[in-house]
Amino acid sequence: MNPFAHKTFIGDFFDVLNSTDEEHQTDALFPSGCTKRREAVISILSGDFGIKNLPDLTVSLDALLTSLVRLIVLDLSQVTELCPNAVGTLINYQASVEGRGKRLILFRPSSAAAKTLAELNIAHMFEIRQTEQDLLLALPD
Amino acid sequence: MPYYLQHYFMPDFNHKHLRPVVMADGAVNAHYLGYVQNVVAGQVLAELRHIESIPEGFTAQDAPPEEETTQAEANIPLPVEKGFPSPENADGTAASEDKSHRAFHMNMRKMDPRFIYNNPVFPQGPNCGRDPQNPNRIIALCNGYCFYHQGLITVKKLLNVRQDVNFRTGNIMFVGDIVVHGDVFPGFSLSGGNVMIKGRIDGGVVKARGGVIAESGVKGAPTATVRAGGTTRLSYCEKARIITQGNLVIDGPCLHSDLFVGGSLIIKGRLQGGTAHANGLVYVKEQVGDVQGATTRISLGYNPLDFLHLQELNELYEEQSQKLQYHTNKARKGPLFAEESAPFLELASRKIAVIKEMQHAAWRRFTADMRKAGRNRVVVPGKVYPGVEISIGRAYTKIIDEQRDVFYCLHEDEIAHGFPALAKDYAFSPSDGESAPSENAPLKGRNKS
Repeated sequence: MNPFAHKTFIGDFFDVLNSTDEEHQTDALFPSGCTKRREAVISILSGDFGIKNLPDLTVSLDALLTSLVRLIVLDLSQVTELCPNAVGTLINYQASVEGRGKRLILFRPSSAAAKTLAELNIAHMFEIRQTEQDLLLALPD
Repeated sequence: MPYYLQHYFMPDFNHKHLRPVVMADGAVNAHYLGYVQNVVAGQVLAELRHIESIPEGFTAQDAPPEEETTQAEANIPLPVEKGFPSPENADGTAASEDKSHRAFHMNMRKMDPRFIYNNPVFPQGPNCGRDPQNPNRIIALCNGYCFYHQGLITVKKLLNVRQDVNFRTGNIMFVGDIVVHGDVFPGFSLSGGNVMIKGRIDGGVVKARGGVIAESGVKGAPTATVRAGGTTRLSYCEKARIITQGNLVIDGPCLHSDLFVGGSLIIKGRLQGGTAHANGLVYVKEQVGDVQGATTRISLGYNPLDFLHLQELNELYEEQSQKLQYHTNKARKGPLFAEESAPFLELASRKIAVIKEMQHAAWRRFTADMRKAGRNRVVVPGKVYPGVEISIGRAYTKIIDEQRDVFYCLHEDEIAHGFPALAKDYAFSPSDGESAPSENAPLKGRNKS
């Protein structure tokens, strides 16, 4: 079983996605975990998303949603398991983000995550991007 | 041995008593109230556990005042209504009602004493079932929304909004189908599978993965937008933007609107002003254009959604070019300004490079699709007024004289018209626009601008 982890990055958008430097990583609940202009947040989720770590996931996601943020990117490339409860949480989070006029993007979902989304027939409810180029246009100016 | 029913949704949720949900920094957006708790098939809604098996970390919430209950009552799940403060008795503070939303997630590891039983209880209602791999769990059997109804956990696939979509409901996003028994107010959005609105879409935004039905029409500001993946039906349309991948049927007039229809467009009233893009048949029963000469454009012969994508890319390109120019001018003022503008310049430059690539790809797709223009036509049993512009593929024409009972199609790379608009031996299918002109229907002249 892979431990659940949720890290939010500070820094330049593309440097963050390419960097593996541990010094750049901060705790998920750090209140200003966002890019320099505080308008875009990149969050890397990793591990198993089962029913037991649902409260942690919900609290972590809620911490990202502030009035300044306009774009939230969830990197799912390291997710090894995505249970239906986690999918339900993501859907309600998407409703919460979209309802406030902000944007949520799922970035590079892993094969396990993509399979779960496809099986539940709800992949079309999310904006999914696979490359950094696709994300670039979504960045707020 | 006591049992505890742990919930994975908010049991106290009451859609009639909503408050804006506070964000992490304490800010509040009045447009979102969390109107619906979405669940998906297979999602665990509740789990019955022995209290002794609950791991460390779970704590008890403050116990409510003890009530004397009989043994039978102790085994029955308490209905939500019993424990939920009634609106008359509520102290009316946002803090007291915030308990139902934010605090639920914060307190998921606390035991709610209302759900402690002496014997196992499984309050599964409609569309709920026991998990075959873990019978102590109640799971949702379909996508929908979840709530307590008459003491049972219930999942419903159809969301009925028995009021207007406004500040009382907030923006709504639902995994299933939605029926709104009121209007959609300006500035609010609605998103679902198939959407039916019995009132009017009045400046709001409606998105549907399937079809949309607006029984009282779409009206309003330019912000009124309908995006649908399937067939859309409106009673009338005024100053709105309709984007649909399927067919579009308007039972009344369509005034000064922008229509992007992936299938066929059928208007039983009149088409007056605005632009209509379709990828099949355009049928307008009463009238196209008007006496005053308001510009009415009909475009066929390509995929309107590709055209819309190209338009959006062009707008994006213009916007980024202006930003690039602005920051370039700003950077020239001095080193401090240059340092401040550097990240914006880099971002704008990279975006423009990406947009150009996307424009090339979109244009290739768009022009490839234009080769199928021959099957499109405009059919108008009513009047066509002068000033109406029709384009099919690369051909274009502007109507000079008033015409009646006429059809327009592509003939030898030019737009030709013929009478009557409808002939009995038309092999015509509205859904895909495939039709063959009758041998007996005369194809007249070339209507030159």
